[in-house]
Amino acid sequence: MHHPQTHAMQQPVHQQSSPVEFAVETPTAGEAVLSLAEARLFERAAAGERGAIAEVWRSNRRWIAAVLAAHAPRGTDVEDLLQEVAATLVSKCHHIRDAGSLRGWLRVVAVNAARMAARGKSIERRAVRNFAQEVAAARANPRTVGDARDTLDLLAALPPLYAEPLLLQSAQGLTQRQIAELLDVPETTVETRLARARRMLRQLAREQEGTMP
Amino acid sequence: MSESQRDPNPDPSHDPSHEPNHDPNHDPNHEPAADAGLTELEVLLSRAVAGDRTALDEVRRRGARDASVLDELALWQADELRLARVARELHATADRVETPRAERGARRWSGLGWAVAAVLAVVWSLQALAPSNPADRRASVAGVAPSFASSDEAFDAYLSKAREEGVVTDDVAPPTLLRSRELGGGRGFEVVIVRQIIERRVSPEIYRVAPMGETGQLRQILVRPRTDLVQ
Repeated sequence: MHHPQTHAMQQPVHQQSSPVEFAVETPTAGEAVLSLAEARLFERAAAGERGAIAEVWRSNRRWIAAVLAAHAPRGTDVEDLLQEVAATLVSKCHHIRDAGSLRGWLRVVAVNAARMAARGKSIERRAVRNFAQEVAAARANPRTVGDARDTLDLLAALPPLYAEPLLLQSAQGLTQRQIAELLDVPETTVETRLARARRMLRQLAREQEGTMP
Repeated sequence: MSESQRDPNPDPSHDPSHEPNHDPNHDPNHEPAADAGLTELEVLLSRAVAGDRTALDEVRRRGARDASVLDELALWQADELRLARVARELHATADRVETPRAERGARRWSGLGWAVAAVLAVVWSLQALAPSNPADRRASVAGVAPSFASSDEAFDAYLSKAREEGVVTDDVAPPTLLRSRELGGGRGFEVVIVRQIIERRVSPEIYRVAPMGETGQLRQILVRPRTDLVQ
Protein backbone atom coordinates (compact mmCIF):
# COMPACT_ATOMS: atom_id res chain seq x y z
CA MET A 1 0.00 0.00 0.00
CA HIS A 2 1.53 3.19 -1.03
CA HIS A 3 1.55 6.19 1.21
CA PRO A 4 3.54 9.31 0.44
CA GLN A 5 4.80 9.96 3.94
CA THR A 6 4.36 7.00 6.19
CA HIS A 7 6.72 4.24 5.29
CA ALA A 8 5.24 2.14 8.03
CA MET A 9 2.05 1.83 6.02
CA GLN A 10 3.91 -0.29 3.51
CA GLN A 11 4.54 -2.95 6.11
CA PRO A 12 2.13 -5.86 6.34
CA VAL A 13 -0.19 -6.21 9.27
CA HIS A 14 0.36 -9.25 11.50
CA GLN A 15 -2.69 -9.07 13.65
CA GLN A 16 -2.31 -12.42 15.34
CA SER A 17 1.01 -11.50 16.87
CA SER A 18 -0.02 -8.00 17.74
CA PRO A 19 0.10 -7.36 21.46
CA VAL A 20 -1.50 -3.96 21.18
CA GLU A 21 -4.97 -3.36 22.51
CA PHE A 22 -5.96 -1.09 19.65
CA ALA A 23 -8.37 -2.48 17.13
CA VAL A 24 -6.45 -2.93 13.90
CA GLU A 25 -8.85 -3.03 11.00
CA THR A 26 -8.80 -6.19 8.99
CA PRO A 27 -7.39 -5.69 5.52
CA THR A 28 -10.13 -6.33 3.04
CA ALA A 29 -8.34 -6.45 -0.28
CA GLY A 30 -4.84 -7.62 0.53
CA GLU A 31 -3.78 -4.18 1.68
CA ALA A 32 -2.95 -3.07 5.19
CA VAL A 33 -5.35 -0.46 6.50
CA LEU A 34 -3.08 0.25 9.44
CA SER A 35 0.31 -1.28 9.98
CA LEU A 36 1.40 -2.78 13.25
CA ALA A 37 4.08 -0.12 13.54
CA GLU A 38 1.49 2.60 13.08
CA ALA A 39 -0.86 1.04 15.59
CA ARG A 40 1.94 0.94 18.15
CA LEU A 41 2.92 4.49 17.36
CA PHE A 42 -0.67 5.65 17.81
CA GLU A 43 -0.89 3.72 21.05
CA ARG A 44 2.19 5.49 22.39
CA ALA A 45 0.79 8.83 21.21
CA ALA A 46 -2.55 8.18 22.90
CA ALA A 47 -0.65 7.40 26.08
CA GLY A 48 0.78 10.90 25.92
CA GLU A 49 4.31 10.13 24.77
CA ARG A 50 5.58 13.39 23.33
CA GLY A 51 7.92 11.84 20.78
CA ALA A 52 5.19 9.57 19.45
CA ILE A 53 2.72 12.45 19.16
CA ALA A 54 5.29 14.46 17.23
CA GLU A 55 5.93 11.48 14.95
CA VAL A 56 2.22 10.97 14.34
CA TRP A 57 1.95 14.64 13.48
CA ARG A 58 4.88 14.58 11.07
CA SER A 59 3.56 11.54 9.24
CA ASN A 60 0.10 13.04 8.79
CA ARG A 61 0.54 16.79 8.54
CA ARG A 62 0.85 16.92 4.74
CA TRP A 63 -2.51 15.38 3.99
CA ILE A 64 -4.01 17.43 6.81
CA ALA A 65 -2.73 20.52 5.00
CA ALA A 66 -4.55 19.29 1.90
CA VAL A 67 -7.80 18.84 3.84
CA LEU A 68 -7.44 22.33 5.29
CA ALA A 69 -6.73 23.83 1.88
CA ALA A 70 -9.84 22.13 0.52
CA HIS A 71 -12.17 23.30 3.29
CA ALA A 72 -10.78 26.66 4.37
CA PRO A 73 -12.09 29.77 2.64
CA ARG A 74 -9.85 31.75 0.38
CA GLY A 75 -7.50 33.99 2.28
CA THR A 76 -7.19 31.72 5.28
CA ASP A 77 -3.70 31.01 6.52
CA VAL A 78 -3.34 27.21 6.28
CA GLU A 79 -0.28 27.37 8.51
CA ASP A 80 -2.32 28.90 11.33
CA LEU A 81 -4.92 26.18 10.97
CA LEU A 82 -2.21 23.52 10.99
CA GLN A 83 -1.04 24.96 14.29
CA GLU A 84 -4.54 24.60 15.66
CA VAL A 85 -4.82 20.99 14.54
CA ALA A 86 -1.39 20.18 15.98
CA ALA A 87 -2.38 21.76 19.30
CA THR A 88 -5.60 19.74 19.34
CA LEU A 89 -3.68 16.55 18.60
CA VAL A 90 -1.37 17.20 21.55
CA SER A 91 -4.14 18.09 23.98
CA LYS A 92 -6.82 15.60 22.92
CA CYS A 93 -5.19 12.57 21.38
CA HIS A 94 -5.37 10.69 24.67
CA HIS A 95 -9.13 10.51 24.08
CA ILE A 96 -8.58 8.28 21.06
CA ARG A 97 -9.24 4.69 22.01
CA ASP A 98 -9.05 3.12 18.57
CA ALA A 99 -5.85 3.61 16.60
CA GLY A 100 -7.72 2.92 13.38
CA SER A 101 -9.89 5.96 13.91
CA LEU A 102 -7.07 8.43 14.48
CA ARG A 103 -6.83 9.58 10.88
CA GLY A 104 -10.57 10.05 10.66
CA TRP A 105 -10.48 11.99 13.91
CA LEU A 106 -7.64 14.18 12.64
CA ARG A 107 -9.62 14.90 9.50
CA VAL A 108 -12.67 15.94 11.52
CA VAL A 109 -10.47 18.23 13.62
CA ALA A 110 -9.03 19.76 10.45
CA VAL A 111 -12.44 20.24 8.83
CA ASN A 112 -13.79 21.85 11.99
CA ALA A 113 -10.78 24.16 12.20
CA ALA A 114 -11.34 25.20 8.59
CA ARG A 115 -15.05 25.82 9.20
CA MET A 116 -14.32 27.87 12.28
CA ALA A 117 -11.90 29.92 10.21
CA ALA A 118 -14.69 30.52 7.72
CA ARG A 119 -16.79 31.94 10.50
CA GLY A 120 -14.00 34.05 11.88
CA LYS A 121 -13.98 37.76 11.48
CA SER A 122 -10.30 38.01 10.73
CA ILE A 123 -10.38 36.51 7.27
CA GLU A 124 -10.37 39.82 5.50
CA ARG A 125 -7.39 41.03 7.48
CA ARG A 126 -5.57 37.80 6.80
CA ALA A 127 -6.42 38.05 3.13
CA VAL A 128 -4.76 41.45 3.00
CA ARG A 129 -1.70 40.06 4.70
CA ASN A 130 -1.67 37.01 2.43
CA PHE A 131 -1.99 39.22 -0.60
CA ALA A 132 1.06 41.16 0.48
CA GLN A 133 2.92 37.88 1.02
CA GLU A 134 1.81 36.66 -2.39
CA VAL A 135 3.13 39.80 -3.99
CA ALA A 136 6.47 39.34 -2.27
CA ALA A 137 6.58 35.64 -3.19
CA ALA A 138 5.59 36.33 -6.78
CA ARG A 139 8.45 38.78 -7.08
CA ALA A 140 10.83 36.11 -5.84
CA ASN A 141 9.52 33.39 -8.17
CA PRO A 142 6.83 34.76 -10.40
CA ARG A 143 5.95 31.77 -12.58
CA THR A 144 5.88 28.84 -10.16
CA VAL A 145 4.34 30.59 -7.19
CA GLY A 146 1.85 32.37 -9.40
CA ASP A 147 0.71 29.10 -10.93
CA ALA A 148 0.31 27.42 -7.56
CA ARG A 149 -1.61 30.37 -6.17
CA ASP A 150 -3.83 30.54 -9.23
CA THR A 151 -4.58 26.86 -8.87
CA LEU A 152 -5.34 27.28 -5.18
CA ASP A 153 -7.72 30.08 -6.08
CA LEU A 154 -9.45 27.80 -8.57
CA LEU A 155 -9.62 25.03 -5.98
CA ALA A 156 -11.18 27.45 -3.52
CA ALA A 157 -14.02 27.86 -5.99
CA LEU A 158 -14.74 24.12 -5.92
CA PRO A 159 -17.06 22.72 -3.26
CA PRO A 160 -14.96 21.01 -0.56
CA LEU A 161 -16.75 17.78 -1.42
CA TYR A 162 -14.77 17.75 -4.67
CA ALA A 163 -11.67 19.76 -3.80
CA GLU A 164 -10.73 17.49 -0.89
CA PRO A 165 -10.36 14.17 -2.75
CA LEU A 166 -8.66 15.96 -5.63
CA LEU A 167 -6.04 17.49 -3.36
CA LEU A 168 -5.60 14.26 -1.47
CA GLN A 169 -4.92 12.34 -4.67
CA SER A 170 -3.20 14.81 -6.95
CA ALA A 171 -1.32 16.78 -4.35
CA GLN A 172 -0.68 14.13 -1.72
CA GLY A 173 -0.53 10.94 -3.74
CA LEU A 174 -3.12 9.04 -1.73
CA THR A 175 -4.78 6.15 -3.49
CA GLN A 176 -8.51 6.07 -4.07
CA ARG A 177 -8.80 3.45 -1.38
CA GLN A 178 -6.94 5.56 1.17
CA ILE A 179 -9.14 8.53 0.33
CA ALA A 180 -12.26 6.37 0.62
CA GLU A 181 -11.15 5.21 4.08
CA LEU A 182 -10.41 8.75 5.17
CA LEU A 183 -13.70 10.15 3.92
CA ASP A 184 -15.64 7.02 4.87
CA VAL A 185 -17.27 6.68 1.47
CA PRO A 186 -17.12 3.93 -1.18
CA GLU A 187 -14.23 3.97 -3.64
CA THR A 188 -16.65 4.42 -6.52
CA THR A 189 -17.85 7.64 -4.90
CA VAL A 190 -14.29 8.85 -4.63
CA GLU A 191 -13.70 8.10 -8.30
CA THR A 192 -16.83 10.00 -9.28
CA ARG A 193 -15.89 12.98 -7.16
CA LEU A 194 -12.37 12.99 -8.59
CA ALA A 195 -13.63 13.03 -12.15
CA ARG A 196 -16.12 15.77 -11.37
CA ALA A 197 -13.49 17.79 -9.54
CA ARG A 198 -11.12 17.61 -12.48
CA ARG A 199 -13.87 18.55 -14.90
CA MET A 200 -14.91 21.51 -12.74
CA LEU A 201 -11.28 22.60 -12.37
CA ARG A 202 -10.89 22.49 -16.16
CA GLN A 203 -14.09 24.51 -16.62
CA LEU A 204 -12.88 27.12 -14.17
CA ALA A 205 -9.46 27.24 -15.83
CA ARG A 206 -11.15 27.75 -19.20
CA GLU A 207 -13.21 30.59 -17.79
CA GLN A 208 -10.11 32.14 -16.26
CA GLU A 209 -8.18 31.81 -19.51
CA GLY A 210 -11.12 33.33 -21.34
CA THR A 211 -11.07 36.42 -19.13
CA MET A 212 -7.34 36.95 -19.41
CA PRO A 213 -6.27 39.83 -21.66
CA MET B 1 -9.06 -2.24 -6.40
CA SER B 2 -5.79 -1.83 -8.25
CA GLU B 3 -5.37 0.45 -11.22
CA SER B 4 -5.19 -2.46 -13.64
CA GLN B 5 -8.33 -4.04 -12.24
CA ARG B 6 -10.46 -1.06 -13.05
CA ASP B 7 -12.95 -1.12 -15.84
CA PRO B 8 -11.47 1.06 -18.57
CA ASN B 9 -14.93 1.65 -19.96
CA PRO B 10 -16.85 2.89 -16.96
CA ASP B 11 -20.54 3.42 -16.88
CA PRO B 12 -20.93 7.14 -16.23
CA SER B 13 -24.47 6.69 -15.10
CA HIS B 14 -23.48 4.86 -11.92
CA ASP B 15 -22.16 7.76 -9.93
CA PRO B 16 -25.12 9.65 -8.44
CA SER B 17 -26.34 6.62 -6.54
CA HIS B 18 -23.02 6.48 -4.69
CA GLU B 19 -23.14 10.06 -3.54
CA PRO B 20 -24.37 10.53 0.00
CA ASN B 21 -26.61 13.57 0.31
CA HIS B 22 -27.08 13.48 -3.38
CA ASP B 23 -30.31 15.39 -3.04
CA PRO B 24 -29.34 18.94 -3.96
CA ASN B 25 -31.76 20.26 -1.37
CA HIS B 26 -29.80 18.58 1.38
CA ASP B 27 -26.25 18.83 0.09
CA PRO B 28 -24.55 22.02 1.27
CA ASN B 29 -21.86 21.49 -1.35
CA HIS B 30 -24.31 21.20 -4.16
CA GLU B 31 -23.53 23.04 -7.33
CA PRO B 32 -25.50 22.74 -10.53
CA ALA B 33 -22.37 21.88 -12.50
CA ALA B 34 -21.64 19.00 -10.17
CA ASP B 35 -24.91 17.32 -10.93
CA ALA B 36 -24.37 17.12 -14.63
CA GLY B 37 -23.59 13.52 -15.53
CA LEU B 38 -20.01 12.69 -16.29
CA THR B 39 -19.18 11.52 -19.74
CA GLU B 40 -17.31 8.31 -20.25
CA LEU B 41 -14.39 10.29 -21.64
CA GLU B 42 -14.20 12.48 -18.54
CA VAL B 43 -13.97 9.47 -16.27
CA LEU B 44 -11.29 8.01 -18.52
CA LEU B 45 -9.35 11.27 -18.55
CA SER B 46 -9.54 11.50 -14.77
CA ARG B 47 -8.18 8.00 -14.42
CA ALA B 48 -5.51 8.61 -17.04
CA VAL B 49 -4.07 11.73 -15.43
CA ALA B 50 -4.11 9.95 -12.06
CA GLY B 51 -1.71 7.38 -13.50
CA ASP B 52 -3.99 4.58 -14.68
CA ARG B 53 -2.09 3.09 -17.64
CA THR B 54 -5.08 1.18 -18.97
CA ALA B 55 -7.20 4.33 -19.05
CA LEU B 56 -4.34 6.28 -20.65
CA ASP B 57 -4.02 3.67 -23.40
CA GLU B 58 -7.75 3.85 -24.03
CA VAL B 59 -7.64 7.65 -24.25
CA ARG B 60 -4.75 7.44 -26.71
CA ARG B 61 -6.61 4.85 -28.76
CA ARG B 62 -9.57 7.20 -29.00
CA GLY B 63 -7.21 10.08 -29.71
CA ALA B 64 -5.97 8.27 -32.80
CA ARG B 65 -9.49 8.60 -34.20
CA ASP B 66 -10.27 12.03 -32.77
CA ALA B 67 -7.42 14.49 -32.19
CA SER B 68 -9.52 16.66 -29.88
CA VAL B 69 -9.37 13.86 -27.31
CA LEU B 70 -5.58 14.24 -27.16
CA ASP B 71 -5.95 18.01 -26.85
CA GLU B 72 -8.26 17.48 -23.90
CA LEU B 73 -5.82 15.00 -22.35
CA ALA B 74 -3.03 17.57 -22.62
CA LEU B 75 -5.15 20.16 -20.82
CA TRP B 76 -6.08 17.77 -18.01
CA GLN B 77 -2.42 16.80 -17.65
CA ALA B 78 -1.49 20.48 -17.44
CA ASP B 79 -4.02 20.89 -14.62
CA GLU B 80 -2.41 17.94 -12.87
CA LEU B 81 0.99 19.61 -13.09
CA ARG B 82 -0.44 22.74 -11.53
CA LEU B 83 -1.86 20.62 -8.72
CA ALA B 84 1.63 19.20 -8.21
CA ARG B 85 2.89 22.75 -7.68
CA VAL B 86 0.14 23.30 -5.14
CA ALA B 87 1.33 20.12 -3.45
CA ARG B 88 4.85 21.47 -3.15
CA GLU B 89 3.55 24.63 -1.50
CA LEU B 90 1.34 22.69 0.88
CA HIS B 91 4.18 20.33 1.76
CA ALA B 92 6.47 23.24 2.53
CA THR B 93 3.78 24.83 4.70
CA ALA B 94 2.99 21.60 6.52
CA ASP B 95 6.63 20.79 7.14
CA ARG B 96 7.09 24.08 8.96
CA VAL B 97 4.50 23.20 11.59
CA GLU B 98 5.52 21.09 14.55
CA THR B 99 3.49 20.06 17.56
CA PRO B 100 3.46 22.71 20.27
CA ARG B 101 5.83 22.12 23.16
CA ALA B 102 3.36 23.10 25.82
CA GLU B 103 0.05 21.31 26.07
CA ARG B 104 -1.87 24.53 26.20
CA GLY B 105 -1.25 27.80 24.45
CA ALA B 106 2.00 27.96 22.50
CA ARG B 107 0.38 29.49 19.45
CA ARG B 108 2.49 31.16 16.85
CA TRP B 109 2.72 34.91 16.90
CA SER B 110 1.08 35.24 13.54
CA GLY B 111 -1.91 33.30 14.79
CA LEU B 112 -2.55 35.99 17.34
CA GLY B 113 -2.65 38.64 14.70
CA TRP B 114 0.04 41.20 14.15
CA ALA B 115 -2.20 44.02 15.24
CA VAL B 116 -2.20 42.63 18.75
CA ALA B 117 1.50 42.09 18.61
CA ALA B 118 1.95 45.68 17.60
CA VAL B 119 1.79 46.46 21.27
CA LEU B 120 5.46 46.18 21.77
CA ALA B 121 6.39 43.13 23.71
CA VAL B 122 9.71 42.90 25.41
CA VAL B 123 11.25 39.48 25.54
CA TRP B 124 14.28 38.43 27.38
CA SER B 125 17.29 37.46 25.42
CA LEU B 126 18.36 33.91 25.86
CA GLN B 127 21.52 35.17 27.46
CA ALA B 128 19.55 36.53 30.36
CA LEU B 129 17.95 33.20 31.07
CA ALA B 130 21.05 31.09 30.63
CA PRO B 131 23.15 30.25 33.66
CA SER B 132 25.47 33.16 34.31
CA ASN B 133 28.24 31.05 35.67
CA PRO B 134 30.06 29.02 32.99
CA ALA B 135 30.55 26.24 35.49
CA ASP B 136 26.79 26.08 36.06
CA ARG B 137 26.26 25.95 32.33
CA ARG B 138 28.62 23.03 31.98
CA ALA B 139 26.86 21.23 34.80
CA SER B 140 23.52 21.76 33.07
CA VAL B 141 24.84 20.43 29.80
CA ALA B 142 26.26 17.38 31.46
CA GLY B 143 22.99 16.76 33.25
CA VAL B 144 24.71 16.95 36.61
CA ALA B 145 22.36 18.54 39.10
CA PRO B 146 21.69 18.28 42.80
CA SER B 147 19.26 15.51 43.60
CA PHE B 148 15.98 16.36 45.34
CA ALA B 149 13.54 14.08 47.05
CA SER B 150 10.61 15.75 45.30
CA SER B 151 9.72 18.53 42.90
CA ASP B 152 8.42 20.57 45.85
CA GLU B 153 11.80 20.29 47.48
CA ALA B 154 13.48 21.39 44.26
CA PHE B 155 11.05 24.30 43.97
CA ASP B 156 11.80 25.41 47.52
CA ALA B 157 15.51 25.14 46.84
CA TYR B 158 15.08 27.25 43.72
CA LEU B 159 13.21 29.94 45.64
CA SER B 160 15.82 29.99 48.35
CA LYS B 161 18.67 30.29 45.87
CA ALA B 162 16.79 32.86 43.76
CA ARG B 163 16.12 35.05 46.79
CA GLU B 164 19.77 34.78 47.77
CA GLU B 165 20.77 35.97 44.29
CA GLY B 166 18.14 38.69 44.25
CA VAL B 167 16.31 37.16 41.32
CA VAL B 168 13.12 36.67 43.31
CA THR B 169 12.45 39.77 45.34
CA ASP B 170 8.78 39.52 46.25
CA ASP B 171 6.76 36.94 48.06
CA VAL B 172 5.52 34.14 45.88
CA ALA B 173 1.82 34.61 45.23
CA PRO B 174 -0.54 31.91 46.48
CA PRO B 175 -1.35 29.30 43.83
CA THR B 176 -4.30 30.06 41.55
CA LEU B 177 -6.73 27.20 41.12
CA LEU B 178 -7.47 26.39 37.46
CA ARG B 179 -9.63 23.31 37.87
CA SER B 180 -10.14 20.28 40.04
CA ARG B 181 -11.86 16.95 39.73
CA GLU B 182 -12.35 13.81 41.73
CA LEU B 183 -10.20 11.00 40.41
CA GLY B 184 -12.61 8.26 41.39
CA GLY B 185 -11.93 4.96 43.06
CA GLY B 186 -11.02 6.74 46.26
CA ARG B 187 -7.76 8.00 44.71
CA GLY B 188 -8.36 11.60 45.75
CA PHE B 189 -8.65 14.79 43.74
CA GLU B 190 -6.70 16.20 40.83
CA VAL B 191 -6.00 19.88 41.41
CA VAL B 192 -4.48 21.99 38.63
CA ILE B 193 -2.94 25.25 39.77
CA VAL B 194 -0.80 28.08 38.45
CA ARG B 195 2.16 29.27 40.47
CA GLN B 196 3.33 32.77 39.82
CA ILE B 197 6.82 33.87 40.58
CA ILE B 198 7.93 37.42 39.96
CA GLU B 199 11.55 37.48 38.91
CA ARG B 200 13.92 40.35 38.35
CA ARG B 201 16.65 39.85 35.80
CA VAL B 202 19.44 42.04 34.49
CA SER B 203 20.25 41.59 30.85
CA PRO B 204 22.91 43.31 28.77
CA GLU B 205 20.40 43.61 25.93
CA ILE B 206 16.75 42.97 25.19
CA TYR B 207 14.63 42.45 22.12
CA ARG B 208 11.36 44.12 21.35
CA VAL B 209 8.94 42.58 18.88
CA ALA B 210 7.37 44.79 16.27
CA PRO B 211 5.65 44.33 12.90
CA MET B 212 7.82 45.24 9.95
CA GLY B 213 7.00 46.13 6.40
CA GLU B 214 3.73 45.88 4.55
CA THR B 215 3.19 42.26 5.53
CA GLY B 216 3.20 43.05 9.22
CA GLN B 217 5.54 40.14 9.82
CA LEU B 218 7.00 40.21 13.31
CA ARG B 219 10.70 40.89 13.74
CA GLN B 220 12.88 40.98 16.80
CA ILE B 221 14.70 44.27 17.20
CA LEU B 222 17.78 44.29 19.36
CA VAL B 223 17.81 47.05 21.97
CA ARG B 224 21.08 47.83 23.69
CA PRO B 225 21.35 50.01 26.79
CA ARG B 226 22.45 53.59 26.30
CA THR B 227 25.93 54.30 27.49
CA ASP B 228 27.14 57.50 29.13
CA LEU B 229 28.54 58.62 25.78
CA VAL B 230 25.16 58.34 24.06
CA GLN B 231 23.31 59.98 26.91
